[in-house]
Formats: sequence, structure tokens, C-alpha cells
Amino acid sequence: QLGSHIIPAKERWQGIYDQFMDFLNSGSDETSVESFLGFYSKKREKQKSLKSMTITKKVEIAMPHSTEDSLDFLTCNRPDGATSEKLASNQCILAKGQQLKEYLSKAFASSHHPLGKLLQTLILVFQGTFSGICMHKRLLSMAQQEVVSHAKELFELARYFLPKSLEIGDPSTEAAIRDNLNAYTVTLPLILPRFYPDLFMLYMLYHEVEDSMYWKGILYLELLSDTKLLEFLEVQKDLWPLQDIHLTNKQRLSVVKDVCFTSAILCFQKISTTADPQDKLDTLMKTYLEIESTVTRVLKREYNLSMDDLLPLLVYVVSRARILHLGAELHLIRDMMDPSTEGGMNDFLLTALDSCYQHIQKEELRSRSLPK
Amino acid sequence: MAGAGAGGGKTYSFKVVLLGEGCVGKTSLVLRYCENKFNDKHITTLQASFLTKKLNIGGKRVNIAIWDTAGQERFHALGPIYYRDSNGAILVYDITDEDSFQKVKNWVKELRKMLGNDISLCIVGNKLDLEKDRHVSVEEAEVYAESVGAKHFHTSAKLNKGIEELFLDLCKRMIETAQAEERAKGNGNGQSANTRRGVQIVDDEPQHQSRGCCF
Repeated sequence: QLGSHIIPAKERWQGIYDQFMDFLNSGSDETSVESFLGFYSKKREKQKSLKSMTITKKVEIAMPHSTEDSLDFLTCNRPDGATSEKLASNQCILAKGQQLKEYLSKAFASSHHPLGKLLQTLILVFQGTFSGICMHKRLLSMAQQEVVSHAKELFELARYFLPKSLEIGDPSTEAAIRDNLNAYTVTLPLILPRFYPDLFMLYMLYHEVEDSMYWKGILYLELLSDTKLLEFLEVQKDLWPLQDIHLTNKQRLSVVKDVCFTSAILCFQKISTTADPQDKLDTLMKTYLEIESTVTRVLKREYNLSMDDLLPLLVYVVSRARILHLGAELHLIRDMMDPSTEGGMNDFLLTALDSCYQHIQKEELRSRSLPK
Repeated sequence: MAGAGAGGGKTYSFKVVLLGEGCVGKTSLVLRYCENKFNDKHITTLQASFLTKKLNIGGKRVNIAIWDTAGQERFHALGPIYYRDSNGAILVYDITDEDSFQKVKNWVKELRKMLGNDISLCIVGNKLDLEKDRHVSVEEAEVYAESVGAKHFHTSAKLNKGIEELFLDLCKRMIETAQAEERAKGNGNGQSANTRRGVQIVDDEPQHQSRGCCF
């Protein structure tokens, strides 16, 4: 019965949103900001930080520009606001989306802007709930839902603050823009980095056991040289990038390590350096393209990589990339990616990566089939 | 991921998994089907591992995404990750290779166990051009296919035979299933949004029937 009495994420922290709505209803002008959303003064912030050192410290680290940025809060003077008419509708959507994101990212980063203030409160509340001593893996789904719910609320609330140039005027493109811009593509990538450290910690706790199995597999595969690993994974011989291996007199082919598919491996390692799930998926896509280009170079012709060939190569790259907590990464991407892309190419690649992860966990058991 | 309405007509989006042992020619089969039809160089496919195709069947727009899977035995256990939420499956065997047909039987069992009857199955005997070396009899294959509620097709990726028919039939059946699901949703009010297939208990009957030729 655990979790059966949980309040839906949307209904949590009503008080914070109510206050914000009151502010909007009161006409949302600059004079009323302070009375509704708290004062803006550096001194106060300092006092607060004395009280709860750890929490504010984290916020400040997450938002290095928060104090110096003085974004004018209801208007946004962007010079290139009106150029979108000339662009084709497809590009127009992209451009609009980009402008919207830029504007919102400034707003969220500013401790002056009502949206920034709201976000700051939400982060504090989130940290108070889930970080430190309260952190437990069972809270993961609650925390995850809460972040998504905040992203959705903020996406709705952002409408009240859009400058003229970003308002959607043309009804013909409006539907298309709606389809492309949603909480998952606009606000979530912007706010996720702020919640990321605590949220990812929960994912790590949640996948502790699996991740340690996976790590054992990684350590085991690490013992194998490049050619032995390729053989072990039954990669077709003609796909082996042997030309990348330059032997010195003292070396033998069978002992060379970390030479094959290096471009793909280096590319894949970037996956844990970003917070935005879309960035992570893009990294995965680029990794695929690197594998593909290596294969093309080796064979000196275009080759259609079917899964029979691709999966062993992907296992090779993943095992050599040695990403810590890959299980946590996978789960986070799955939870936070735009649900409308389900069944698409990104979903496929993520599934392929997931299967590599699962496979590596089992790899350890197969030590008997080690190639001689 | 049955259907997502967009504007006037309805667009169905289907996920189809492609299963089959290593050398049965499943890759050439889908490549043959998807080649040159739409020459847009948008990156929406991954060469031979993930392919998409747009169709128009009786005024209904259909997008299918074809998910390849690795046929090697060692990756067999990873199957369920791939065919989760799929609407259709194409199971390919080589008519000259008895073994590959046995593999197909294993996958059918697994698919029925995991996804129940919501998934439309096509069993495909490929390499029809090698008829003289046939090792799987037409009758055996067709009887088996019927016993598990699948359609059986003969194709030759080399001669481009039977492939269009295969996909057309599969799409039609997936549309029917999706429509039936919609109707069911329309009747039963309430939790219509997320009635994903849960655990399904399937009769063991087909397995018993096929045991004779299985072992």
C-alpha cells in the first residue's frame, strides 16, 4: 500500500502557486511584486544564507548570474523579433522556439523576474523535501513527477510574461507551434539543470544494485584487449577497424587496447555531462553516427548496419566508455524525454542502449566463453 | 501508440519489430521495402536498424516504424526490451534453413506471452528464389502460422517478391486492431487515457499443437 495516499504532483505546493496567481490577478506590475513574492534585496539573501547555509549555497552555485542580471521583467527588447515572417513556417517554428527558450532562460535565471523568483522558491522547496537526510530511493517517482509538474506549470505561467515579439499571432502556424513547443521541449530543459543534482542522486540510489552489476561487467570486459573484445562480442571480422591499430615492434595485435572506435567512445562519454535529456539523446545519435562513419571508413564503402552488426558494436563502445551509473542515466532520460517522440528514432536508440546496459550486466556470467 | 489524430484525417502510428535469425535476410527484406520510395534525406532512419515508412491505406494515413533486432542467440534475452508496446511483428525465417523456422516458433511463443493478442504477427518465409533447396515445407509453415493466429507469407528480397503484400496486410490488420481498441475505449468510459495492455494470460493451446514438430 506504499504510496497509495500520495497527493498528485500537480496539487502539491498549491500555496506557492496560489500566491503567484494572486500576484497575476492583481495586475502583475512591478510595485506589487515584492508584496506578493517576497523582497528582492541582496542583504536579505545574505541573512537567509546565514540561516540555512547549505541550501542557499547550492542555489547560488546553480545560478551564478542570478544577482547581477537585471532583466526588465515585463518587456524584452529583442532587436530581431520581427524577422520570422520571412522564414518558412518550419524554420519559423524553430526560430520562435529558440527565442522563447532564450527569453525564458533569462527570466528563470533572474532573481528579479517573477518567474525566476517562483522557480527559486520551488527549488528550495524541492531541496527541502528530497535532499539531505530525507533522500530515499522510494521518493524517486514523487520527485520526478514534481519536477515535470513544475515544468508544466511554469510553461503555462510563462504565457503571462511573453513580450510582444514572441506572441503567437498567426493562427495557421499556431497549431504547429503548439505541437512543437510544450513543457517537455521548452521549460523542462531550462529548469532541469537546477533540480538535477538532487534528482540524479535519487536515480542513482534507485539503480544502485543494477548499476553495480553493470560495473562488474564493465570491469570484466576491461580486461580484454580490443581484438579479444571484438571477438568476444562476435563482431564480424570485416568490421574490425584494424587499420587504426599501429603496432610498434614490441607489441602484438592481441594486446592493444583502447584504439578501436575511439571517436564513438569519446563522443558517448559526453552523455553524463549534460542534464537535458534531449542533449543526451543527441549525444547518443552522434555516437551512432561515429560508429557508422568508422565502419564506412573500414570497409571503404557504404554499409547498412543492421542490428545484428550494430548491437555488438554498441556494446563494445558502451563497455569501453565506462559511464558511471548508466542505469540512472537511462531511467532519467526515459522519464524526462518528450513523450510525443515515443516510438521514434530516439526511442529506438535509447532502447538499444538499454539493451546494451542489460547485456553488460549479464556479461560477467559468461566468463567461460572467453576467447583464447 | 495506436493512433494520434492530427488535423482532418487520422494518422496511425505503428511500431513493428523485425525478428529473425542472423542470415535469414530480414535486413534486405526491409531495405527492399523502404528503399527509394521517399527520397528525402531527412535523418529519420538509421540505415537498416530503424526504418520508417508512410503509407496511405484506404484514405487512412499510416506511419510505420520498423525496429530491427539482433538475431544472435546471445542477445535473445534482450528481446522484450525491443518489442514492448509494438503493434506488429514480422518474423522471418529462411526456407532453406529448418533451424531458423524453429527460432521463429520460439519468438511467437514469447510475443504471445508478453503482448497477448494485441500484436499482429506475420511469419515470413524468405529466400523464395532458392525454392529447390527448401527445407521447411509450405504446409507445415502455414498450418503452424494458422495455429498461432499469424499470417504466413512467402517472399524473396532478391527478386522483390511478396514484400508489398506482406506489409500491406500487416498494416490493415494493425489498423483493425487499433480501431477495435478505440471502440472498446469509447464504450468503457473512465480510464480511457492509459489502458495499456497489462499482464495477459494466454492459453497454452497453440504451443501444445506445435509440440509435435517442435521437438
